[in-house]
Amino acid sequence: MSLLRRGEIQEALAAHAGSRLVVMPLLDDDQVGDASIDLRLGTEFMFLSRTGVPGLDPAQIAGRQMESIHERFLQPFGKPLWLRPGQFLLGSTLEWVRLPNDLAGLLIGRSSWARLGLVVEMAGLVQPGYSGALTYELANVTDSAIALYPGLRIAQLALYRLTPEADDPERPLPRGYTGKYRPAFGPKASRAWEDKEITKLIRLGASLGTAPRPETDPSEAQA
Amino acid sequence: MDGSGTHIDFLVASLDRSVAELRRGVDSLDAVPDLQGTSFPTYVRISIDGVAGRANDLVEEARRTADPVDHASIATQLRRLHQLVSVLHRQAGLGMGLKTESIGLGIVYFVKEAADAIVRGDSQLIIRPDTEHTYSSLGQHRVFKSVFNSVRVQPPQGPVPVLIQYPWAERQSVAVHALFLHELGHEAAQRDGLTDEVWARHPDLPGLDRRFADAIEQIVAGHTAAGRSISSEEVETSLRTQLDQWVEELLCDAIATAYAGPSYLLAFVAFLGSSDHDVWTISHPAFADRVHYTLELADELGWAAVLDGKLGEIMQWIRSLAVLSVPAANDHRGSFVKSVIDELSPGIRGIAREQVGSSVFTPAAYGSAADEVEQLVRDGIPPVQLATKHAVGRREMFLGAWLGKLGHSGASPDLVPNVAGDMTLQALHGQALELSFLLEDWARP
Repeated sequence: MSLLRRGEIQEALAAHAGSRLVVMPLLDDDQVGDASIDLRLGTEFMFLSRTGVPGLDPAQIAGRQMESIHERFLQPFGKPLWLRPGQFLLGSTLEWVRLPNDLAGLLIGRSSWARLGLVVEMAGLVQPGYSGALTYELANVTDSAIALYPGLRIAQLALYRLTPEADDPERPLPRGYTGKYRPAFGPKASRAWEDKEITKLIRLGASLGTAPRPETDPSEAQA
Repeated sequence: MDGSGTHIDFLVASLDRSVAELRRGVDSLDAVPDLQGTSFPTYVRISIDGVAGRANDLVEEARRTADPVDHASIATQLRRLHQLVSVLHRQAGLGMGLKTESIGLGIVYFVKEAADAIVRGDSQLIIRPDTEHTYSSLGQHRVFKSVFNSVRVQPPQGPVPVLIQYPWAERQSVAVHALFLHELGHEAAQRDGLTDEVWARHPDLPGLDRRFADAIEQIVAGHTAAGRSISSEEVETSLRTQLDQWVEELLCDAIATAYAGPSYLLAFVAFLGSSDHDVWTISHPAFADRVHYTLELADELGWAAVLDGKLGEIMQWIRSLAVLSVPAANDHRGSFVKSVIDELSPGIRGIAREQVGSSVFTPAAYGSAADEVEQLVRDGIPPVQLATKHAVGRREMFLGAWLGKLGHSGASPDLVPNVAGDMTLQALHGQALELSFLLEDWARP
């Protein structure tokens, strides 16, 4: 896997059809840096309202209930969004991003904002073939509120080209993103309950006699 | 595909779209926890499932028969199911308190941009969901003018509020939101007295006055012959109301078409195509008549070549709908109203074009970006930015979304509601609207 440089990023942006890297819109040419593309803050946000649930247990919260404990709001351009000390919000990139099947991405915060105490991204790997807005996990780890404005460059996307398998160079590239956050327009709430491991782990506990047997399969539970 | 088959396919696709919108809407309302329990959403869901189940039965029935009489009966039953969806839309909205998320910022910006082009004077838009399954404007200008006059106070300085409502479950139906333009037309018509201007352009007003008096006499005589009692004054009032309201409705269709081009026509067909095409009311002309006059203006603006070239079978079908209904020989009211509207039609088109002025959307304006925008739509990319780095205009975006999806050989009329109900496309479109405003503004020095 090799990190793409500016010229390679620009080539990928100008490529045709399926091999094209899409970052739409690119407001300024200088968003493309030496080894990454700067991405901006979008206008849609979500926060946990935590109404009626004692905590966040992905084995117990599923489907519509996960949506129901989040509130979604829009923040128009030009108005500051104050992130309070300790507050956590889901936001998204302003840009709509599509990676071709031979590129993976790593979304990371920009150092200017990190130095103000803003955490932008905590799970930044973007799979090949992904399309949509990228979700930011925004957190303020200082003891002072931070003003955010939609449109600000707060993150950067580094791009890596997938190298052929050493033992099987003819093996085809991934066919495209098939993960659970597709398609994404604006921030997406967690779908952690879809991870089958949770079900398996609970069943394992029951088999070993270290945990009660579950009444329902959490991956199938609905609010 | 025969005409009746096409019609049934369209009605089924249209019903599927409305049912899916309502189901999504109910799910989103249900996701907001409250203290009102779960029985109401359950009632609504079971009703929606019942409508969908009955529609499936009718589709099966239609497959088993080739008899046009059976198909006509099935089409009627599908239309009734569509009316039931409208009833459920109202019930669900009322019962669950309309706790919907906000309509997208892109649509808000688009309607504001259109208002600046269509409505003279400064306006402050208020866009809100409604329980009724229809778009409407609440005529704030007329209401407040009347109140201020009654109590003899001066109107406040600053922008005039413009309150427009959309069906709450259609929040994400960006393509259908072209119908907001019709509502802006109402604001323009009322603020600028446009219906009076239409009447002033009638080619023979003195002659029309005489025919109006004759029509009243004939209508009263018709009622008397049928054993019903009605006064000349009642007929006159009702006839004047009907004519004024029809003129305003057709003017609003024309303003929307002048501003958005065929995107308005396609949204209109997607949203209202499952209504009874030849049924009119005092306040609204029949669907078929509205399509007829809308097409007249679209053709006058030069859209026929684009539409017929890209949407062959779909346009043939839409043109077949636009055949004006002919009133019965003894329907004096229908005959009179139809003839007057036909005489006013050139004036309606002219005033609509003048009202929209330099913002009239033409095939030439669309043509420069058409191929690129339609290709972006087909590739599943929000059509925000052209290769030149320029922003895609909003009207180009609306039309590109339709033509990108419908503009291929074999596209049939049932694809019109299918495209309007394609939520991935609608989400792309909504995001593209918002981002194109940003991009355009960003590029300004």
